[in-house]
Amino acid sequence: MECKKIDILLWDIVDKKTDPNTQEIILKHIEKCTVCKAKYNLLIEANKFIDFQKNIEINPFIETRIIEKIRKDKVSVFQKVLQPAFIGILILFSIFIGNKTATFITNQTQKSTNSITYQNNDSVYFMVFNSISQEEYQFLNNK
Amino acid sequence: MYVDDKELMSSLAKDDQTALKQIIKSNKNNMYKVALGVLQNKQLAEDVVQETFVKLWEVRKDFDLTAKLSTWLYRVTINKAISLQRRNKFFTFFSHLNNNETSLEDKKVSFEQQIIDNNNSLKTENIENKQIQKSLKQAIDSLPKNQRMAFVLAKYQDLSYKEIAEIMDITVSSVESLLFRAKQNLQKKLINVYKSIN
Repeated sequence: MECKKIDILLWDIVDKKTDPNTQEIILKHIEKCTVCKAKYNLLIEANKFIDFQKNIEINPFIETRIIEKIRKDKVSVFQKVLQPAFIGILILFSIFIGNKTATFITNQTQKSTNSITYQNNDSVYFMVFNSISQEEYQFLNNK
Repeated sequence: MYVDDKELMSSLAKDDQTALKQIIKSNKNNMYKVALGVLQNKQLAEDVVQETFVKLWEVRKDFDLTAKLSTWLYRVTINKAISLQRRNKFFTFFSHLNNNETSLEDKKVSFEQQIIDNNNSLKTENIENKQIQKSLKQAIDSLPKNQRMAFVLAKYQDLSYKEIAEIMDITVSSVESLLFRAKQNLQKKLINVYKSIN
């Protein structure tokens, strides 16, 4: 058999997945051919290493580690939800307070501006003299 | 004791930690072998197993009870292992760049460096030939994702083509073809890497 064909079947030979006849023919070739023999030995060693790794067992404390991690995550999930919610509420509250304060200040400024306007107007004298409000004055004025 | 996956997952959905413990007990070693096959590093493989169980706990209420638990666990484990390996490669690349740029006076051991050190520290108590391990690791690393998945599931877990097909969500014939190509590639790369080491 040619080396090229053996190359394709080498893993199957190592895994003993070929039929006994083919296995025998190839093994005979490997005995004679140094290149194929080197490749075969390399795969045998790699397979041995994989078998060795297959027998390694996981750390026996992994179960405790996982349970502990889940317990910690439970707390952190709570924190993850509660903390942003609290911060969000705080931001909304600040915006609300800011808005209210700004409205109050704007109203106050508007009032003082209005009174200044009235002072420069003859209508103020009329209002004061007749003891009427601005609305009443406007009502009369419209009529 | 729970009899089947359905019963186990129903109990898990009700936050039953006994069910979780049983799942861990019966699957941890199989998952570890798969993760170890991909990562070739004990510590990282353990981390992947841990992450997978934590993920299972997170999705316990939405878990499809018709799905096979072990298939789900294998799939998540192998995907997590491959993505962790990709991340490690990224860190390794940047740590190499960093090493070239910075001087030796910076003696801080970075996280990336620790990963590289860990990768090289797999103990081979019973195997003398560390070069085989190194070349095998490099050869497995260089395989395309799907070939690597198929190879690891077949070689490290001795799963049937049908089981691998279920885990990878592909046909049995695709698994056969992937495995054939994986073995051929691995053989070539193993020989090349081994030649370059010696």
